[in-house]
Amino acid sequence: MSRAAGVGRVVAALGLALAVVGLPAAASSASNGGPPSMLNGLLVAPEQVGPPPAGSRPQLLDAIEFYSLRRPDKELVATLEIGQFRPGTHVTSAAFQQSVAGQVGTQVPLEQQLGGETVFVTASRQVDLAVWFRDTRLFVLSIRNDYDFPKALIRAALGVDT
Amino acid sequence: MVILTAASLAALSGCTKIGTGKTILDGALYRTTSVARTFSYAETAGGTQTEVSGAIADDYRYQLAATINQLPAEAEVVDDDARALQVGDSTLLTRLTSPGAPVPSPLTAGQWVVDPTGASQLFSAGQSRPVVGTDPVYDALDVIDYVRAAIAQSAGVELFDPEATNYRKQSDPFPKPKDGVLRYDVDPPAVPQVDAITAQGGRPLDTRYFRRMSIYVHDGMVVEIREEISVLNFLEDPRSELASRISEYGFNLPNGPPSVQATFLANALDALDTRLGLPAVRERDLDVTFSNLGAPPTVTMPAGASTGSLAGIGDYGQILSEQAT
Repeated sequence: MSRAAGVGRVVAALGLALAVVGLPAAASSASNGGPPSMLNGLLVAPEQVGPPPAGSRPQLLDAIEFYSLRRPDKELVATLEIGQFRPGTHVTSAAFQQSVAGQVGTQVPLEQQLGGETVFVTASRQVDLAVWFRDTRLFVLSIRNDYDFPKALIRAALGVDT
Repeated sequence: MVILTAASLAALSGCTKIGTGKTILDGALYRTTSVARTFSYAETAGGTQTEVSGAIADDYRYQLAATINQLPAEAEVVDDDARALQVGDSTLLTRLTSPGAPVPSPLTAGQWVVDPTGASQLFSAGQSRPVVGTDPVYDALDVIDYVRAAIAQSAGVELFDPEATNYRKQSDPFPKPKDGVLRYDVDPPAVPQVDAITAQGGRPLDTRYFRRMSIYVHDGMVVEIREEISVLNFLEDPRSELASRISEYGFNLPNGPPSVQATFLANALDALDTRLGLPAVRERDLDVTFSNLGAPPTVTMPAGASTGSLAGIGDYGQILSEQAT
């Protein structure tokens, strides 16, 4: 599987999911330094974000970072998207978080507690999705549903143990 | 002359019913599931004592150990995607094992087996959830969802009020709350009118009509859950109308003390449930206490465990989670 094709195949549904919360056009900001170069044994690399699909709903995010997570043999396992909400968005509202999480996947999300943080877990085609909120940022971790260690990866992405 | 109207009686009844009582209790249940905690779970059912002690760091990390009649029965440790299991009771192991699932030989010998990906499911396995009494570790982990299901089957939730007109001390099997603790009582529903199907020997009374449950809340968190499922308690409680109306269901109670009648009715219900393939009314006493709320315990995988697959052995997918609403 080529790198580009791999990203497209695994996150095709995810791209659509983020569009509903307002994926901005080619916006990319790595101002926070981004995640570490390795998460749960997977190599983390920044990826380019394409334009939003035609007809996207009004945008809630005004910046997004997009990372691929690959095995050492380059096989794509997961992606991590970090979105920055527009100022004035009530990110800490439980109802808002549930609403956003509910739009990211195709299932009613479950709330799961990890290390004192709430993670919304849902799924889409061939991927499991973990969604969480921190300050004014939205994190969406999309994991192939045949990956053997999704929970350790979610915990690593949360930075709970680091 | 004092005239008590229906409204004034209702005011004295201690009613918080489905409204505020349930809302407050829902909040306490949610907050309790959101924090690290330790717990003890003690059940007596049919002369069998089951005890489970557990420590939950979060929804992906926990460890539990169960005894049945004081003998080690089952222990489980889950650390993210890894799951370790030890079963010391061969009858229980058989009960936990799905048909056709291979059982690692160390597990059969009562040793620890760890499956590195045995807990990697992010979602519940849904329909494979066991009925209460099958798996003590599952019952203990799932107890808060069990309480929610009981509330959903109830007539309402009331704040404990021993001065309410509908309170009967002789039918209350649970202790009063200590200072600073609120007790919420889950009210059993009234015995329903008999319809044509029931009159012809179908749809017997199920567990909800024999359940008393109280939840103790301190500082907005659940600290104790008490449950008694007892045919005798309801036969002796005139509020339930069970004794006076059970003949409508085709059960003619024998002459004798209530304990004899309760045994007769429990056996008759059990026979009917078995014939219809329905879950039995499983009489039991349950006491669950939570402690160390918000203090994450250390969860460690057992040293020296063999590695093997635990698929199909007490394997229900992700158990701890909340439905986002």
